Amino acid sequence: MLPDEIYVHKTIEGDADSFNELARRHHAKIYGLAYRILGHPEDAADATQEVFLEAYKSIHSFRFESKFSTWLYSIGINVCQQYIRKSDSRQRTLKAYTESIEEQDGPYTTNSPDRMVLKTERDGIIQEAINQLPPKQRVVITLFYMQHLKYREIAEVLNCSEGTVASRLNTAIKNLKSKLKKHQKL
Amino acid sequence: MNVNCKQVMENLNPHHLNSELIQQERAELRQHLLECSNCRTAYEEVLHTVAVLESLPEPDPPPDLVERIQTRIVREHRKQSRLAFLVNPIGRLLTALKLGPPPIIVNYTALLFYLILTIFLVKLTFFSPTDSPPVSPITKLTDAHMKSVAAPWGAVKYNGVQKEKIKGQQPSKAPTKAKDMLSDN
Repeated sequence: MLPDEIYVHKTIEGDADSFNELARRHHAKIYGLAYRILGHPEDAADATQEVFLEAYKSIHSFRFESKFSTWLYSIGINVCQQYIRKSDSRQRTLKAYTESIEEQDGPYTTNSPDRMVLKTERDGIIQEAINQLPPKQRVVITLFYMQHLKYREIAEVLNCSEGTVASRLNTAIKNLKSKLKKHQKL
Repeated sequence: MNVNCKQVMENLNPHHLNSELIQQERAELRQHLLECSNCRTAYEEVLHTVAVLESLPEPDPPPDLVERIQTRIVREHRKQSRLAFLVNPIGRLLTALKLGPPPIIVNYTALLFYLILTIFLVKLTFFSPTDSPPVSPITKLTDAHMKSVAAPWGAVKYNGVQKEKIKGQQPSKAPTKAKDMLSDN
């Protein structure tokens, strides 16, 4: 499998198909990031499209100093933060998770793509707890525990020091712990 | 809570505790966890939270997501291509002809194209002969003198009278010197 950078070079030279290959490779990761930060499958899908479109438009600004995926994550974080700022998105998120809590008595019976994401009650509760964290803590938890980025890479994505990442992560874990404490069965 | 408890509470993330960021304090903090039951309980809760987080499955993207992204990319590519043609038609023509010019050539072609276009527009705007040229005494030919100048071609319409050129007749010679012209007047 050719490295991402080859496809980036080809995209810069005007080959859109090469960028489509990059989208095929990274869309699941970016969707996962967007889903954990935004907490809503539809918003996550829309945000993922925006991330790739933004990346395609600004591909000339990629400097080959970091990994393409790291660069993509930084665009992803910016796009997700824009989504968080939108009040209607927040309302939809809240509504979605209120519904998910209401449906705790049994597993989801529908097989629609939206519902498939929240497969279990347990996942729904954890996601709701993540969703209640401040955006910065949500981002750092998602990048570290779900996307498995290292401190150095997160610092690069967020443009901050590794110490800030560590401290933010520590605070996020403590907050999450207190939010999950009431759910004994977890 | 003593200082050590505070330090432990600030570094409860197990990954952080194992990292090199606090290497010098690590042994001390671990020792404290063995001795302090409160901190140990808090640490175990954090370990549990982290385990819960790490057990979360990666959400499955909608099956048509890649297709939706690719459709938008293709649309954007077409839009950019149209814009690029407007910006640099020569460069785009070279690319369309599969000559594969490197970007620097395309950029210089654009520069050359716009330089030529600018020169042309400046010339058209500032150097076009809109006013009649200044009239010198030599060119001030009188009406009578104009009559003496016969056209070398077939017919000349002058003062509403059509004069047929007589076949074989030489037209009267136009005065060549300014002095002659003025004396005729």
